[in-house]
Amino acid sequence: MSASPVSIPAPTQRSLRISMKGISERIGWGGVVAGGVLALLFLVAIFAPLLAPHDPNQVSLGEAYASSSSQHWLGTDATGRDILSRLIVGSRTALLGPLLVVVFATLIGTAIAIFAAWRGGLTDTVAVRILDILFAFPAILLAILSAAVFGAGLTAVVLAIGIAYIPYVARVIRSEAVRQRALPYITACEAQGQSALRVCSRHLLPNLLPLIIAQMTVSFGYAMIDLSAVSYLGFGVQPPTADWGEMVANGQPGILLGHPTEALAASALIVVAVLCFTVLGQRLGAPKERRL
Amino acid sequence: MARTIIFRILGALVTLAVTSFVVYGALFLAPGSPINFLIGPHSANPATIARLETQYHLNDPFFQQWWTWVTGVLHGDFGYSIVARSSVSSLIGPRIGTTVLLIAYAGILTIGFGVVGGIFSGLRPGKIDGSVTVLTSIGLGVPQFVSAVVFITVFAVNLKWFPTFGGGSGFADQIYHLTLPALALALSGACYVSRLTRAAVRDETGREHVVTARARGLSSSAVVRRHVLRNAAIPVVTVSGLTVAGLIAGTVVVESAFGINGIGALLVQSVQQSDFPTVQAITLVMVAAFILVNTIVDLAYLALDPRIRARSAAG
Repeated sequence: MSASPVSIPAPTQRSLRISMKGISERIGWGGVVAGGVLALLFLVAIFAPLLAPHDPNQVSLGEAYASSSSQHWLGTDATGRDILSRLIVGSRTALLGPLLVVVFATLIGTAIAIFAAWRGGLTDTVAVRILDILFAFPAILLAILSAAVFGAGLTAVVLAIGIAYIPYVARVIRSEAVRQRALPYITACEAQGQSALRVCSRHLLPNLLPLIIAQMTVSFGYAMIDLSAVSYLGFGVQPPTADWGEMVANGQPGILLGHPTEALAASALIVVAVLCFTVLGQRLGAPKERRL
Repeated sequence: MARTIIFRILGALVTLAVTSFVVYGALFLAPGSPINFLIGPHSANPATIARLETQYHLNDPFFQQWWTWVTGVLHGDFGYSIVARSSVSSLIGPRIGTTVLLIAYAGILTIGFGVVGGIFSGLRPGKIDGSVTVLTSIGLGVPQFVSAVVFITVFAVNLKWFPTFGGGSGFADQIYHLTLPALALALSGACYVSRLTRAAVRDETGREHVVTARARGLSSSAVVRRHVLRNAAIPVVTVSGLTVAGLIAGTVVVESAFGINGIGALLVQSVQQSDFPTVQAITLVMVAAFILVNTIVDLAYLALDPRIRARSAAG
């Protein structure tokens, strides 16, 4: 589940310069395809209101479970809402939720990781112990507990899952930060009399960045699994707002009536998005020979 | 060795204490006063309020309240559900068996399919390995509710092999009813175990001692059995254990999807009905089970790998 540490060449700030060719060589054609699909999904999410052919919340009971037609390409759901429009608009919460989780967990997790690795000794030991305790809480249980306390909705659930993801981010970043901390370039910076904050932010952090980005990409996929599951259970994105996880739940009764399109189409989109995130994340994180 | 074991167990106990603290303390994070939160939208007469106040010892200092709750839990007293108007343990008791059966069933499937698939693709590079790898990378990204919905569509509604709903009664019928749920619960974990097993087998086949064993003229089945699989077993056992521990939280989703009357579905129902004592009890039971399995896996790892045993004996 965790990406292997990235091997970083000469640790200078120059290595940060990103070339398109370098990236595509590193991630291979599979990574390029995955990245392309994800870019497309993000574009769809951004321009969703323009792309959706119908109002996603337009109920029309006379047209319940309409099958595919030129009017409704994927047909309609139990209350006659256009499925394609709901999928398009639903991509917004489906992508925004995991994005917030990943940004939150990465900011806090990286801060903890660098702080622990830099101070070492007791600080490090205490930080590792606290992370171990956080590991004991499966993300989905923490999300359900927070929904029970603060009420259902995206905010509480995103925060809860974000907290549950901190140890996963921090553990990977910390072990690489500890390794880098011992390298000569850090000692050289310290010998020049640079402050700890400056060394960490100007030198250590940039060298950790490739690993952080890889870790964020993989976590994005897992966050999507957890968040859509919470929305499926009815504790995340609230109806009538369209969301992929919510659509699977909304479409489930239709399966028994012989109208599985809504549930299956939303499921397929979730699987494709998660697959692309994991493939891209793994390829960004590990060189080819070390891939699982 | 003894020291390491004691440290692991102490660590698990500390983790348990902290998580119970979080689960209990969540009550006080809720907007409004704890007693209003516990009553929620339900009507409560003064007698119930008094009962809840004594039960939660809401007039005691926080630490003492938590301690009273934890010692109650250790004696099997999880509190009183206002919604069901009965003790929480009488709600959990009859349902927990179904959930344990589901986890055990899914655990066997996870390890069975994962290990067999992984060994198979690890020992047979080429087309078989390639197709297993593609399938497992897709399966890895399938959320449990998605596999549940897809399995219901294909195997229950279209092929009519399995029931769409419910947990069944009697052992054989239960197993029959739980087959699809267990498969849905196991799918992504099995793919993960398979990939790890493949990597471990691959790792070992390239090692010097395996090449030496081949050069000594051992039959290839003996090489695989005695040299490859024995060494590959250590990481595989660890990861299988951790994956099975991860199934515990998954029961919440899968039981809801299939309408199975276990504690996972009860948790969802309790959140919907604002039955907070039940939510706390089930969350604590699940997290405790998760910690317990993780600790057992940790200790098994120590017992399995003679190198670690030797190192900790020396150190």
